[in-house]
Amino acid sequence: MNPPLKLSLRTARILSLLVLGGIGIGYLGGAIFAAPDGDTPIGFVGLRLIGLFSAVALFVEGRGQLTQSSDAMLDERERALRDKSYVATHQIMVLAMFGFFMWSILAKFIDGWMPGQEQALDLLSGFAITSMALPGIILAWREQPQDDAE
Amino acid sequence: MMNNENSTLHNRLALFRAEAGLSRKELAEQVGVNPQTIGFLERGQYGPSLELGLKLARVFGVSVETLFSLEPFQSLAQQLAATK
Repeated sequence: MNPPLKLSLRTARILSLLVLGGIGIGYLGGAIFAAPDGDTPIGFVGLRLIGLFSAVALFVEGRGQLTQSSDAMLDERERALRDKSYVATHQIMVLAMFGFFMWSILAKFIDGWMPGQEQALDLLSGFAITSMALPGIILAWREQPQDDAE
Repeated sequence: MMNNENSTLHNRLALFRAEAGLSRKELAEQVGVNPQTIGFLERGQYGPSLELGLKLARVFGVSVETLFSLEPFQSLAQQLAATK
């Protein structure tokens, strides 16, 4: 496997925090604190952009490319790593969707916040970007620093 | 053989590789894996599949039980002491 971008473990982890922070706060905060006319405050737009660019960098980086590789390009350990990252991604995203589903029920009873159509689309975008980057993020945090000098 | 990252499998891969004068890269090429995977195996951070275990044993011309064990291997000092 020859990825177009190879980052150190530390850089990949910093990027992963930027993705989770930027996307999480940018999209959720932007949806909650949207102006009455539907406009997203500029600060949240900035956070979204940081999250988006970090997600793209992680996607094209070695760990992200490993999650996109076919079986033939990986050995058995890498295949196991890739498969585990997808299982974890599936569990996290299902949990997030279930959490939102539960909130949508609860919000009716307590008159809680619910996104409008535009905010719902924004949240869906954030969800999609997170899904794209999450396998690479999981790999970056599962990876152990190693000495493979030989 | 356990195909996982939380392996409790013990191995003497590093010892056999050093004795054979092979680098991780050379051994990896012979068994068809990434050199990093050899490092993970040697550190006990990954348990190989049966197929990979057999391939590794074949490279060194030993049985798979000589390379891998569920029990910790005796250290060289212990082995020498036992032969006295």
